[in-house]
Amino acid sequence: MTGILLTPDNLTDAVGALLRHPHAQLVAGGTDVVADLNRGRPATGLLSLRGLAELTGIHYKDGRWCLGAMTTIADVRANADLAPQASALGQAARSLGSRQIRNRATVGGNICGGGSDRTLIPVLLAYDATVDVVGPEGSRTQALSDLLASSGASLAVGEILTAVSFSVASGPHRYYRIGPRNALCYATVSVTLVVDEPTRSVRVALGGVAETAVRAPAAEALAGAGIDWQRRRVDADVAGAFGVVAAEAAQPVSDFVASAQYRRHAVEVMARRALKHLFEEGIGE
Amino acid sequence: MSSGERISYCINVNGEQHVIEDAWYFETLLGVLRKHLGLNGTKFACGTGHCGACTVHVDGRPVNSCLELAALTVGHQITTIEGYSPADGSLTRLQEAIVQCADVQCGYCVPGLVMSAAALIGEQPGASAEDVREGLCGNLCRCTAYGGFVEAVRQAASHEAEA
Repeated sequence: MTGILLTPDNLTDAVGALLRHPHAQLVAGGTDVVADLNRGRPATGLLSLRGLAELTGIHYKDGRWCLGAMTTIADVRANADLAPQASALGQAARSLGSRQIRNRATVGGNICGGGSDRTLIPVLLAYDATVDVVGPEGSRTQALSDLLASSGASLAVGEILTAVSFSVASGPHRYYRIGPRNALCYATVSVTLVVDEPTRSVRVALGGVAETAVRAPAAEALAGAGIDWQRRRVDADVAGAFGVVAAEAAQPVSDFVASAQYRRHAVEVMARRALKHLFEEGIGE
Repeated sequence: MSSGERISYCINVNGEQHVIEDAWYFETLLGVLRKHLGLNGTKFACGTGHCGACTVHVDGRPVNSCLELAALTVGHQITTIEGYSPADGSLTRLQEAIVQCADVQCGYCVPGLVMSAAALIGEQPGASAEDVREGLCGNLCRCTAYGGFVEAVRQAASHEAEA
């Protein structure tokens, strides 16, 4: 067999086809996989998920958003309820690639495409998202953080990510990024902040500063304790300390985009400004 | 499902069905348009989705045809710059605005830029200059003639909003 293009039209057939062709690579939107083919990377088998209508769609049920893995980034951005409510996700979707890329790139592909630089992973991590995975052994739901910790978001052979779910905290949340330009590049560093007002807690996730996106638990604890929740204010020294501690969670590498020192510094500055920014805007807005 | 090095299928381009015979199984839509159908208005440049020179519409939405596997576009409506341009050789209002405002040097980016802009105007009639800059972020012009393009697209979008 020199090559094969598998195009199942339902999940059962897709799982079956992967059992017969375990080395076939999954293709969602194709914006990574086909670019790699064009760069000359050999591929002997591809399995396209585009025919699986059951993996598309954005649903809200029992307080949780559920995004099918084949939902495009354009659809995430265009959803009139999701993008404003999950505002950090809406902002991240707006920053991803270009209009052409967003019309093809998918939520599932962004999660499983690999790399800490993928836009949505830190945002979903800050939302405490769970992922649904189907494989030959059946289906399972697990925390995205567990998947990242165990395998860096790569699935076992034969498995397919089908959906991602999360609930939106009651409080402001926002996605911040810095990169070489506004479009068509991965964020050099991203900081996602989610404030959960009822539990008086803050979640912060960092992108581009470790092998996978990471949370910064020490910074989260510092913010939860240091924010003046009554007055809804953040003192400058609390915000400053928050930035310093958040940067300590970063384990960046130096590469052709930026040095490790730059990335650590960027986290410190972005996290400090982000906390001030969210509270100056006011909780609940 | 298809197997083997080469496959055949039928795709709809500019309102016409085309039988594509003996195509490489991972051939991109861009490759099929140019090599099999001779539609050379759609340009190849980066092959990674960064430049937008290969932009076409699939079901009315702009996509990078270099990142689209042609075999997966079966059953969808593909529009290229040849199909967007009026058959009688005249120009659309957008194209006329580009002729009036833009300072084209090599022109290689223009077909892709027109296809992106046409989709943008459809989605956002009345788009501001800022909207146009964001909306066309997927199209690079190596001659950096962006100013004239942005003004042309803004004018065409403004006409669309008034129409």
